Amino acid sequence: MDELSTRFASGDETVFDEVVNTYSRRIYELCYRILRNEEEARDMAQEVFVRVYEKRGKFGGRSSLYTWIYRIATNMCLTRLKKIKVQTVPLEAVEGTLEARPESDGPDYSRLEAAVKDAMAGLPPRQRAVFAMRFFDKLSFKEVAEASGTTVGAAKANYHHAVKHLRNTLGEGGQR
Amino acid sequence: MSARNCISEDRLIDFVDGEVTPEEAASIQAHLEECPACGAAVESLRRALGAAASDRVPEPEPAYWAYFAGNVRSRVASRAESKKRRFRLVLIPGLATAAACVLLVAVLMRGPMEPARDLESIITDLNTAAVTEEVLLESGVDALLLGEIGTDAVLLDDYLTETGEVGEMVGELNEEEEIDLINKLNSIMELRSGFDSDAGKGC
Repeated sequence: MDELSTRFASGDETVFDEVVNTYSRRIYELCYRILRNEEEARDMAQEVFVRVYEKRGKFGGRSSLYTWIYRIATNMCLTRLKKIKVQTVPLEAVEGTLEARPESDGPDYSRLEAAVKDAMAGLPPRQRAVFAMRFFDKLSFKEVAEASGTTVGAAKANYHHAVKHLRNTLGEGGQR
Repeated sequence: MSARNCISEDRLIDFVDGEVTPEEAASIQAHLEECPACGAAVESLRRALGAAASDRVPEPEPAYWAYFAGNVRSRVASRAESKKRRFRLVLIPGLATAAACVLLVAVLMRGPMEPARDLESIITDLNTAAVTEEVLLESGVDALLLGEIGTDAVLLDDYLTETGEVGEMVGELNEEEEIDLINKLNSIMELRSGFDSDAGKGC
């Protein structure tokens, strides 16, 4: 366990701000990559750390601090998406078009960028979470499994499904 | 090379992802040089992942980061205050007893194992009746849930430490588990009503 995790696990109150400063950007990015909405992600990132604070006594150091925080963030984002789905009914609102496009889809908003955003938004939320942790945060599958509350096999399967979806939507051929 | 000897797509993804041993990588590489279909599949995967890598996260304005820790602290303080307020309300005996009576009537008006209401309204009732962790522990229902829901420690933590906010946990359940949870929550409310009656407080 690194020093920050050790101090956090020991209940050292003074370390909390350091934890926030260390992980806030990564957590915001993870929230965005799952929620696909900037405003929601900004709010959720702060809520995640509120939860981290409230649960600080529960961190026993069995997993690393960042996978523990990632897990809280993942659960909260997935729960949020389910709540949005319940409130708005159409599934597309959650799994497709929750993402806000820039106000003007002008020339700066390239076709590739739009295609990538659509492809990402088209992933089921859990695959989105697993893909983000593996592909962007470079977590090992063991860490992804810990952070998403699943097994290494299931994490890998989710990642493979996500990559296949992206290949189908962004790969332009090459399917066998 | 014939399709029979082609490499599975999952394995090709592992290859592109660097999740194969050096020996496997060499073997796959050799196959790719002879198999146009697998070669095209790998190209397609690389193209897709290359495009995915360009997915950018919007950068919040500097003020967001400048006030991030402060805002978290404010939210923590405000959340702690509202929990205190809720706790004080629970301590008003008349209110708690009245809530228990309402719940008991609601439970008696429907079959005990049939989920007659949706989860949202039950959770609301649980919040307003303030089913405490103590009640849950005494009821033994948490142990049942522990077996039913599995090994998701964070969700179980939510359940055991924030029983007024079971909604967080519910989001993870499938339909069958959700119905089962509804039945169990009904049982919890029955037990709570029983505790209140045993204490000679009401109804």
